[in-house]
Amino acid sequence: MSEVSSTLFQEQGEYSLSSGELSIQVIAANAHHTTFSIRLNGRLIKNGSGDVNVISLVTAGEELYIKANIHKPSGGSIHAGLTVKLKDAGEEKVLEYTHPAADYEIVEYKVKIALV
Amino acid sequence: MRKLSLTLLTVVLLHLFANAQGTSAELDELNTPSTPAFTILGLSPTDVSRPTLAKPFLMDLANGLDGKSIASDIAIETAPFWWFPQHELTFEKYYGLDTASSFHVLDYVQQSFSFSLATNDASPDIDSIDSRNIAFGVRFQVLPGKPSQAFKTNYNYGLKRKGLLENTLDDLIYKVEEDEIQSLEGLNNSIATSVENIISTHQTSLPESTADWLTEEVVEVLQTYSGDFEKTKVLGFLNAEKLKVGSSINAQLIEMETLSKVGWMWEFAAAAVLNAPTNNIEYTFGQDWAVWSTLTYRLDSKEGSANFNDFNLMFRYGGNFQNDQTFNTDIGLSWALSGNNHSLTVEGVFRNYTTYFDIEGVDGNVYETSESEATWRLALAYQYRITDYLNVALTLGKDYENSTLASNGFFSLLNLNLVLPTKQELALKQ
Repeated sequence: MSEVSSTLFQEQGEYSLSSGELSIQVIAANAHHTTFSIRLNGRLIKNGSGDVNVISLVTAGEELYIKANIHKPSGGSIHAGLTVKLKDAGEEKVLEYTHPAADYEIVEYKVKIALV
Repeated sequence: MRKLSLTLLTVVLLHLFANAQGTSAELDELNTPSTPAFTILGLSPTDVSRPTLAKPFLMDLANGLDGKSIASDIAIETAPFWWFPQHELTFEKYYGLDTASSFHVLDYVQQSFSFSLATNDASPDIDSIDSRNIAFGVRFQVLPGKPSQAFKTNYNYGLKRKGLLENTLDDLIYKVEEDEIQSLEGLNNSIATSVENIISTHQTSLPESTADWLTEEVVEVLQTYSGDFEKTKVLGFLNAEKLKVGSSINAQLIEMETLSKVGWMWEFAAAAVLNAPTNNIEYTFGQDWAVWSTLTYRLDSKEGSANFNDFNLMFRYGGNFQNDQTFNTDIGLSWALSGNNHSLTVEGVFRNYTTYFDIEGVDGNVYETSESEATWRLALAYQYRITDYLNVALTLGKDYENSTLASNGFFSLLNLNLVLPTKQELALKQ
């Protein structure tokens, strides 16, 4: 059995809250399948496979931590990407991460978003 | 003069020491998974060597060809495509689950192309000459079928389980990174909380048994850790274990191989027989040859059931190297139905012999003409499994009157098979 290779990307972001109800959408691009977990100040609020759409009660000063393991389809020079969409009563913010790491079977994203 | 006769033989065979494969009375002349080299010899070997690497294949071959003489009852089939690792090929691509990638017909041919070798004893009963039939065959598919519902379910289920285990390990990784876990005892004590967290915050609802399964899996993973608690070492271990999660689903899917394809399957095959009258590889002459094509439609069975329901249409053209004037054309239909305890196969083949010869006309010119004769074969086989170790099989039918293929044409009517288990389980003393 060949060794599975993985690479890690740590990302930072910020979102200015207008209300206390935040919609979080996590979408993987060029993924065979994805597993993810979302934490709010260390507390696990959602996990699963595939894309995710979750609404959570949040307050300013909290930190959102999104971890996604993107299993890429094999072959080709496809770059696995991650899109995080955040929206409350205010404007939607779209954070997009793409990395030229085509040689890895699993691309791991750790995204920390400060809620201000 | 051809003699039409309806063969109806009743033979009761009690195979007391049959192996675990059993000696079932299956009719598989027309079924897609039949191996060309065995079909042309009329063999149904219970143990076929299917090496998936080049080296074992060559070793099997060398064992079969002992010096210049040839061992009897060799049965090897191999697909060279699978001798080498196929890094670019994934399950979803191979089974057509990935709708984004599509295969060209040549990809199917390449993946399914296999060649087979079979030998049997062709020694006449009356003297001590040792002679062999050696058959070679190739086959490939141009239509591979589509994934069965059972396979898709298992595949999705496997992915879901894989995701759950990955998420749980991720939860433990997070706790170690954040120093919430600082000892091996703490790591073990956190399993239950992590599993509970994962189940309660999972995006889709999960069956009740998932928690138990997940706990067992995580405990099993952590058992392989040896040494003291060192943060970097534990993190390295957990991350490495997380990457290995995929291999268990792969193994499970490989086991499903035979039940995985349904729908239209179209296969082409060719085979030829060499006869070695003195069992010496240097002295052989060609015997029967045939090319054929089988179109199969396999109905998808209900979820969780191992039943199959196959319809086959076969077209075959064959002849004999020693007689280049006579050729036979076969058209066959078969229906195979298999349930949990029974299987039924009905098979009918219509055969037409054509012999070409020259005649001298009254004008003195030589004209080529031909003569045709037709014959047919109709057979029915039913097998019922009474217990795990005992089954009864009924086979009846009429064979070709004269065939250039599979000339050992009689088949038994009633077959009682007692299959001894290969491993006896003994209860431990309480």
